[in-house]
Amino acid sequence: MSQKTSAPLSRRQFITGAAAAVASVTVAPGVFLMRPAEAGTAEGVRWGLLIDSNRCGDCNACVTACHEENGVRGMDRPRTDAQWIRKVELRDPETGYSHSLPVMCQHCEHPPCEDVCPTGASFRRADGIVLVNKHTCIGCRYCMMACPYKARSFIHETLTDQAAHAPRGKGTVESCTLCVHRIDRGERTTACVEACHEQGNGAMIFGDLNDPDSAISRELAEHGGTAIRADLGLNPGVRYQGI
Amino acid sequence: MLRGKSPARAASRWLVLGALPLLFLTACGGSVEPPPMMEARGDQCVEPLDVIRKDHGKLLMHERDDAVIRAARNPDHSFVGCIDCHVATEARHTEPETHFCASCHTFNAVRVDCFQCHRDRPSESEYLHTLNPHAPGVDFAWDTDHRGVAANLAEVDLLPPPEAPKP
Repeated sequence: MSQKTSAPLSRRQFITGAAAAVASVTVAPGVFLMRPAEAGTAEGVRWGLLIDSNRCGDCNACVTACHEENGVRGMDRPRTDAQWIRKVELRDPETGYSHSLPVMCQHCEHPPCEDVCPTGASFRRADGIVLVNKHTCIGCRYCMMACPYKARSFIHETLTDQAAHAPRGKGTVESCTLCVHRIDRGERTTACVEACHEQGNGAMIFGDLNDPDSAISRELAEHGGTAIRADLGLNPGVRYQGI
Repeated sequence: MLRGKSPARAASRWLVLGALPLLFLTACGGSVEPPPMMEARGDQCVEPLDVIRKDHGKLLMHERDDAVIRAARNPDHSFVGCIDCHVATEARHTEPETHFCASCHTFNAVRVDCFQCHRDRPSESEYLHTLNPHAPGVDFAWDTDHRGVAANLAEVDLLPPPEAPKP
């Protein structure tokens, strides 16, 4: 009795409540009413990171947090282990001054990985995040060759116990997703930035590069920032200060 | 000297040989047990039972590109949502008898590779579908007495109502 009365209500809840993202509606078994789903990416946004390498010390908090968040675990094989973010040590041979900075996928506006991908698996989302669609990735690794930042990794071995929000599997290429699962549920920070503020030196800012009032844009307007290999004209979404 | 075959003998032999597989099939007929449907948390699935049983693959397949490429995530048809509700925490897809998806896929000789990448166990996920608040159903039962989907769609103005006769 209670089930009979609650079922239509729940159906309505389902259709109206979740209709915003519904891509297809079942009209009859096997027949779908396809409707273009409204894009979930925020309008006119370009997500980016600003990293102040003067503040970045020799801690590893961002790397640990990223790999913890996304279930990236090494197999004690440094040459083939996946690496979504890594610390790069810079040393000026003349003065001996050295500092380090984290390098991850730079989320280019014109990503070379997308250009070379034969299946369209490498793509750039409307909000500027460069991702691998693992449903179509064939593991050819052209993108790894094309990326000037060495940001991508190939998964060589069968994996188990992945994080639910970060599917990863043998035979596909992967890289930093700018914590796309967090962004899609409305959070405005990434695991690395969060860890940098909590355990590190607060050297990283996440934000919308297109919004002039965001913290990242204000910092960039005030103190400037550069891209790694800016000469390539890829316009990365990750900017650095002090390099 | 070759021994001649009697036609009657040959015929009876073929009869017996032919009858054996038939007997075997008759003995097996109808005795194949489907895998037990494992219990889910919550009290209702996101779609009527016949729809979800037949078309869950299509729903997941159609909407995955929207989710990955356009970030149009539908929490009611989320892969993670299915797993959260249906799969036991200690289940493994490599042990089909413990795993909701794998048990049925194995029975039907369907081989899909979702779990080569996707987590095969529930997680503390935020992508919960709107019908089930993820409490274990106290008096859990599949709602088989669902109404027509088209009628429901018309009810919420997603399908045009039947045309009124023109004057």
